[in-house]
Amino acid sequence: MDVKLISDDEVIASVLEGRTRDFEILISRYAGKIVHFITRMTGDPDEAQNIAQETFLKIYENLPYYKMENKFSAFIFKVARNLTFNWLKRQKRTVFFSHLLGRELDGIPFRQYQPVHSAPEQAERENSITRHLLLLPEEQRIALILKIYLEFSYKQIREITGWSIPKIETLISRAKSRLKKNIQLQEKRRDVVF
Amino acid sequence: MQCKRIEALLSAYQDGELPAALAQEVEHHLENCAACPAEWRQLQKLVSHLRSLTPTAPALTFSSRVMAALPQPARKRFAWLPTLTYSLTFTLIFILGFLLSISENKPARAQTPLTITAVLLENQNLSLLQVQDRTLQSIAEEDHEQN
Repeated sequence: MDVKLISDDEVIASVLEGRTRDFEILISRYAGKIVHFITRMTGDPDEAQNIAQETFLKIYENLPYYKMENKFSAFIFKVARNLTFNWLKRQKRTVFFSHLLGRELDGIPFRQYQPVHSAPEQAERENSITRHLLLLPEEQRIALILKIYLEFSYKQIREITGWSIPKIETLISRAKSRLKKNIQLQEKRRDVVF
Repeated sequence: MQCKRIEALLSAYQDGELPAALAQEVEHHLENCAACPAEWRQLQKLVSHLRSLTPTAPALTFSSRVMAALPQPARKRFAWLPTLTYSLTFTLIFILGFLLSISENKPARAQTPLTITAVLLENQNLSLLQVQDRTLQSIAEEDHEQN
C-alpha cells in the first residue's frame, strides 16, 4: 500500500501496535513544517532542530493519549508551540539574569540567523526580517507564522492555538500593521526603499 | 468612513478568509477608491517580503537521530484491561450458570405438616385455628391421593 494514502491515525495505530519504525512516516511528513515553524518562532535554525527533535520525542511518548480524530497536525503543532514557548521563556530568563550579573548580551536574546549559502545581501535581508518577526508579541508572531509560512487557514490555527477566529484575525492584522510600520521606519533610517 | 472599514478587512481578505460577499465588497472598493489601493499594495509587498525568507529544512540526519533517541516502544497503557474484563465477565457468567443449574436440580421441599403450617402462616393472614384446620385438611387430601 502507498504510504501516502495511509492516514496519520492509521500510522499511529500501527506504532501503538508495536511497529515502531512506522513513526518515521510521521517524521517525514511533519519534520519540514515543524522545523520551519520553530525556526521562524525562535530565529535560531540550530536550536529549531533540537526543539523539533524534542517535539517528536514528546509526541512519541504521548501517542497512547492521542485521540484518533484525524487531527494529528493540530496535535503536533500544539506540542511544538508549547516547547518553543518554554524555550523562549528560558532565553528571556537568561538575558534577564545576564543583565543582573552585569553581562550585556545582544539586544535580542537570540543568536543571529546566518543562512550559510546565502549572498551577504540576502543574509542581511533575512536577518532583518527575522529580527522584525522576533520583535512581535508572541501571540501575534505565532498567528502570523502559521498563516504566512505554514499557510494554515484561520480554522486550522484555531485548532492549534485554541483562540477564536476573530482573535486570530485581529492578531494577524495587527502583526502585519506592526511589521509594515517597523520595516518602513527601518528603511527610512537607512534611506533604502522598501 | 468606508475606507476605514475596508482597511480593517484587508488583512483577512489577503488571507482568503473573508466570506464571498465581503470579499466582493472589498474588491469593488479597491477598484473605485483613490487611497486604499496603495494600502493594499503595501500589504502585498510586506507578505511577499516575509515569504522571501529561505525555507528552513530539517537536517539530513534528523529522522535517524529522532528514531535513535526514541524511548521504550509506545504502547497503549492499560492495553491489558479489555482482556482482563472479558476473562472476568466470562468467569462470572460461568459461575452464575453453575450455581443456577445446582439450584434447579435441588429436590422440592417435602410437604410435611410443619411446612404446610409455615407456608399458611407466612402467606395468609389466618388464625391459628384456621391454620390447624387447613393443615389437617391438606394432610387428609395427601393421604387420600396416595391411597
